[in-house]
Amino acid sequence: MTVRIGAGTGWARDRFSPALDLVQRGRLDYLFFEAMSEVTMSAAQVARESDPTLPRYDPDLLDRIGPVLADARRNETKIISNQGWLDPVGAAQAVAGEARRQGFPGLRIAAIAGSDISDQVSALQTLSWETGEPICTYRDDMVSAEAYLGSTAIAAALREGADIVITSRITDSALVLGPLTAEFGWAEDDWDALAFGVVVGHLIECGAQVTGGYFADPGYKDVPDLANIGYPIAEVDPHSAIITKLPGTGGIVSKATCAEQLLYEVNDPSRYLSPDVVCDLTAVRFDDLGDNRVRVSGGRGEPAPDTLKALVGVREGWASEGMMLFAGPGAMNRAELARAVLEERLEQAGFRPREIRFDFLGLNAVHREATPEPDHDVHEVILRVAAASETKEQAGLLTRELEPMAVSGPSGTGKFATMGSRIRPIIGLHSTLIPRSLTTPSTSVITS
Amino acid sequence: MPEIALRDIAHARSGEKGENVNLAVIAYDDSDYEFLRENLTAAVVAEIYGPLLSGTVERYEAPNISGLNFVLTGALRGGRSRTLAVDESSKALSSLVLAHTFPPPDTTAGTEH
Repeated sequence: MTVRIGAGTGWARDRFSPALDLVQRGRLDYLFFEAMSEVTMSAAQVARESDPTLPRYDPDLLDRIGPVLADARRNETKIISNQGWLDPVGAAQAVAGEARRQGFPGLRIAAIAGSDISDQVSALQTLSWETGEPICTYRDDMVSAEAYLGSTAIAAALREGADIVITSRITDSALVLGPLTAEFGWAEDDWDALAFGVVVGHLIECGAQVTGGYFADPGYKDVPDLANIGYPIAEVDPHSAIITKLPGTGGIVSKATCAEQLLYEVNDPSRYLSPDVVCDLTAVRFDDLGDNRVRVSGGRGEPAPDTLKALVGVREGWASEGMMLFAGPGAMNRAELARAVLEERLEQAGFRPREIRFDFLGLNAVHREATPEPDHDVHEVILRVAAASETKEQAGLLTRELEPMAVSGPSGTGKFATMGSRIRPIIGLHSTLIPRSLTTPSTSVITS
Repeated sequence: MPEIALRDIAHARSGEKGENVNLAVIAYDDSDYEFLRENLTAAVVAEIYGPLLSGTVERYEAPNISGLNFVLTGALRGGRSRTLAVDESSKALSSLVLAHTFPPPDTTAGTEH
């Protein structure tokens, strides 16, 4: 029995329309929304400081789930989403309210909590990968702390009859491994099966990145109708799956797109860690069946690690940034003059950033110090300055000296890009490994 | 014999995890994998990305997809949450390796006698 799973979104700021197309035409058993990146939780906490009325779940929750509800019910498609963020129960209640409003009483919505470990940080001795210090060092400035949970609670909730599952922070592939485990009855120590499930999840967890997104390189890797790219569907059997997309959509599914996604954000491919299993991605095999259908097979797994990865967000000051535009003859000379003037004035103003960078957009900002020397003069260049400071007041000194440059700096300076300078708080993330025992996944069921 | 442009024989994708950037380089044609494996070494990649690295380049082989995975340790100092780099996600870094050219095989022959 083939299980059909569609990827509605690959991250928090993904498109809205592909999920609707998938649920309408995809004949899906499951549709998932992956709506969380590393910085999402800490950014949400900071946003709530400015606006305490913001929910602690994804503000886009109902804008994504609302439009697909009717077709999901009609096609018997279950929905799994990690938009619960820091309040999966609240999110489930909001979804229940929306379901009732649309005329769907009796839907079972499971809320899976247990990733939030912020109340444990003050005692946490495990070390930060970024600094080598114990995590408890950062207790006073901590903004958020969550562990990446696996798929076990999702599978259990689905077996118990959930129509919709809302989670907090989980590893992305759990959105797929959860339903597959529920459908195929894989045991928690069936490592090869679990590894195969994680591979399928990893391939489609970033949405369009496997169907021709983050891929096109005109003339080298051409993608038809990229504007209307179809998001991926996995048609999964216990030992192999087809990665594909809806007919009539743009994009491409090929061994090349699958290979790029297979290694995406991977360290040692022979040991790809997830909370449920350690996978050997070098055992995976792709066969191109044509017509945007690629078969994936070959799971090889080792026992899951004893620890879970966790992210702790810590206040680390303020970032400020601004830009100045130059074009035409002497553009680069004027940009360099601007830099020299700015540096001197910032020094005089008492600006003492922790870090400051000057980049020349159009010349060497993207590949930074590794950019090859240009063999020609640029017509236009944008001087960009960015700094990290301890205080908001310090960060503001950059803006204070940058903006007057329009009247007291070099000639021919255009209006600043991005409508002036930006100042934002820096929430530094610390990665650490914690014992599983520190998390207590709990599932509540809300009925609409 | 002309130089071999990496971009002609392989495609690439980069991503980040913590302070590390991973760079996957995959041969378009399985028959080019051996050439890649022999010539696109960790040292070559370290040379290309040198000024961005604060650690080593580790290379892993994925022959099942005719690909090599390079981990550029410390290339995103502080990680995405702290970096002041314009390319905070490091997704634009893969295009740098694609500018690389390999010297034509003939020029390496007969230099050791």
